[in-house]
Amino acid sequence: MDLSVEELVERAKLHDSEAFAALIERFEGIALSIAYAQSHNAADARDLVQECFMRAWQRLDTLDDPSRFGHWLGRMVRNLAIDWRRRKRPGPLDMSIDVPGGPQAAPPIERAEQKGKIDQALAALDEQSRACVTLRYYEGLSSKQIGELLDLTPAAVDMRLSRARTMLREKLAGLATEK
Amino acid sequence: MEPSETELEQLLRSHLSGELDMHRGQAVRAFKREVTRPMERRLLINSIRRSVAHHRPTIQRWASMGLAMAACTALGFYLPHFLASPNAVPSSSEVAKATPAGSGETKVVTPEYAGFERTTVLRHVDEGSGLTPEGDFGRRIKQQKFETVRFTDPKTHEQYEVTIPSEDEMILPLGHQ
Repeated sequence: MDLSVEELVERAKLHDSEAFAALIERFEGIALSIAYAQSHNAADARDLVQECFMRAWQRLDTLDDPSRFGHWLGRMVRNLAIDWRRRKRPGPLDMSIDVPGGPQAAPPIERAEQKGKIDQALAALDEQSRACVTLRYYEGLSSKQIGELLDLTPAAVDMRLSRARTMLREKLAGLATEK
Repeated sequence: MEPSETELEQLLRSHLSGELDMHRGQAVRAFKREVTRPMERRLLINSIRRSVAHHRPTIQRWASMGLAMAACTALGFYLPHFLASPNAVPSSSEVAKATPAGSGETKVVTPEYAGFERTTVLRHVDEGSGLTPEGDFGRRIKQQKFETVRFTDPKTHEQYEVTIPSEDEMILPLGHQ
């Protein structure tokens, strides 16, 4: 049974946890993309997303229009990311660093260099553009869908994507031929 | 040379997949854990309550029988001590009894057992987001505790080691991180 987002939201509002779990499955990639664009760290994005869905489950009553669930969630992720940045204290160790001999095998040097370059290139973009890029290239969303999630018009999304691509191509010059 | 449109797309797709794919599915698991846990606990408590209410007379009967048996056992154990000891009071140095593994004999552990060593190992596992009883967001931390007591018999030089594992779960409010 494949229910629409609206139906799932209506069911979740009646405390149907299975319906909300289905919503999480559908929107997790989107939430991860936005959180990653904001935090620029995959582990932090994961934590933000978990917290965001918990909060969404508690505050689902405040969502008037079930068809706007994605937009509502996107805004919640962004607000949470802003709060998270405020309360985050600089720690001595960033857990996302690949530690040689750690549980995950360190990537080959070339791949680590490539990852570093892409990270730097993405970090150079502003948050909205980064969110547009992650939603387009990770989730494969259209400009209209991205615009609905980020409170932007499709034209504004296209413009940001175009600028971001130009900037990324400059920053990543040489990477494609290195592969 | 700048990457083409397709190359850029490939680079970004593989980079983002490498970063984020491993975290997919965790939000659902965290949510299910958070939602089902209180429900399971509530169901368990209710079923125990119902069961206790239903079987109260039987439980009371068995409990009194158990208490009576424990009292008889204790009496049977201490009575020979009272009869054998001249002052009929157990020695104050007697602190515990332990049986070495495989030996089958019972030994009285006294403060003579020097080299008494106690170690507590704490291990913390971050299990993701959770809600405090007040409804605030926090990190669910599982604390595993291993309490180990080691001592050596100075006469036989036999070493004894007892480890008691225990596990506790707590939710640290995010403000305390």
